[in-house]
Amino acid sequence: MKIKVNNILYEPKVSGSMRLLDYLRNELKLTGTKEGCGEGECGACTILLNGKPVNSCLILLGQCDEKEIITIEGLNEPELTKSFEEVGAVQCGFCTPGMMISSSAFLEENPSPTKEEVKTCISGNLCRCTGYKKIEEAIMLTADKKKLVK
Amino acid sequence: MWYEQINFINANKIEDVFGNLDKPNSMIIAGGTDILVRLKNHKNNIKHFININNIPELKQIEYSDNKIKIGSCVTFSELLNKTWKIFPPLFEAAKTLAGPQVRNTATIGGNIINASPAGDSLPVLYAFDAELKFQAKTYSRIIKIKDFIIGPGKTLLKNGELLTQIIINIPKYDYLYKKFGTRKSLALSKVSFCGVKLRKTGNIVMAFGASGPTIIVVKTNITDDIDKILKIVDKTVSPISDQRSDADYRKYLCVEVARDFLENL
Repeated sequence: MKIKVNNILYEPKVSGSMRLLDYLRNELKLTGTKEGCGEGECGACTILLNGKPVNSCLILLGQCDEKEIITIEGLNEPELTKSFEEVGAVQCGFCTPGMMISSSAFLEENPSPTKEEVKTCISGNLCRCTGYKKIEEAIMLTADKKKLVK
Repeated sequence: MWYEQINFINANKIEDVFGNLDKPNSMIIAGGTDILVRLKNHKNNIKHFININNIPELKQIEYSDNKIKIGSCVTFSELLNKTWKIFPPLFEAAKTLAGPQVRNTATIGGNIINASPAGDSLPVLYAFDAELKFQAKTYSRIIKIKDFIIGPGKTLLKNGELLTQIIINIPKYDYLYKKFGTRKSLALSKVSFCGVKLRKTGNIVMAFGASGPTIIVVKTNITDDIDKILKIVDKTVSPISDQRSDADYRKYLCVEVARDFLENL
């Protein structure tokens, strides 16, 4: 088994039936990826698998063989981070890694989103503090900033 | 998780699956979004996972002569990207399934084998009378989905069989797909519906999800009296009360969504 996590190649010696989430947190000590519900409802464990957001609680390590994973630790999105800070899109912070992973993949595909599309993009991520408004604002702000740079 | 002790096997071609399905207590895993939730809460005696996600022929969509053939491991995200033009009802159903992360891994084959009465793609597959192709080591067979699913979570899947393809004939049609849930995303349905009118014959098929032990189908014709059809709908659906909704409200939804569909044809 070979998997790339945040651009580093690993050859895990653990069971292929281990949840990817447990491998990331317990073996690689990448604890930025959170476990909320463990059933694919809350999105706190979202990572990028070959560039697409998936729930790491519902995927087994063996299913990631030969694939590339990006976690919040390896996400290189300074504009997104800055926007979350500026707008105040973080309260307790537990959902934030998942929110940022979901929105980074989305903005890659959809650089000029509408508000409705932003809502769809984070529809698989639950937040119990913010009411989503500031998170949506942060994602819109990121899109605007990226357009300016271009 | 307890299931770390299960031996994990990656199948790279269909033959690999049959080579391993012989092993006692083996289980096929595709997207895993249903299986892993179930296993988390219910320990069982599975010894081998056989992952079929890397088998190229199970991930293909073919479309020709008004017939669509979908590989069992096609994910709902792929259905969203590829069916919006050629088969909008399935696109609509895929759009309502769970959230983006689950859609990126959950497969149409898994939705069928899981055989939940609330499976989001099932009303569409029933309304179009979809056929399922199974392969085993020594034979293959085709069976209609309405004959394959026999109860909640219960199917006529035989030992050693792999669902490889979903085959749907697409005549000229008008349709309505609708899902009623508590919220737009990440919701299991209270009721889901797919109504289809075939333009050539005027025949109508209405399929109701989460309204009985399997998908409930009501067939009729455009020339029939709407009130009479709605009475048949009311009698045919047999929803239950659970944490998502109650039986009376579900029945009401079934009749009203059918009315909406029939009156706007």
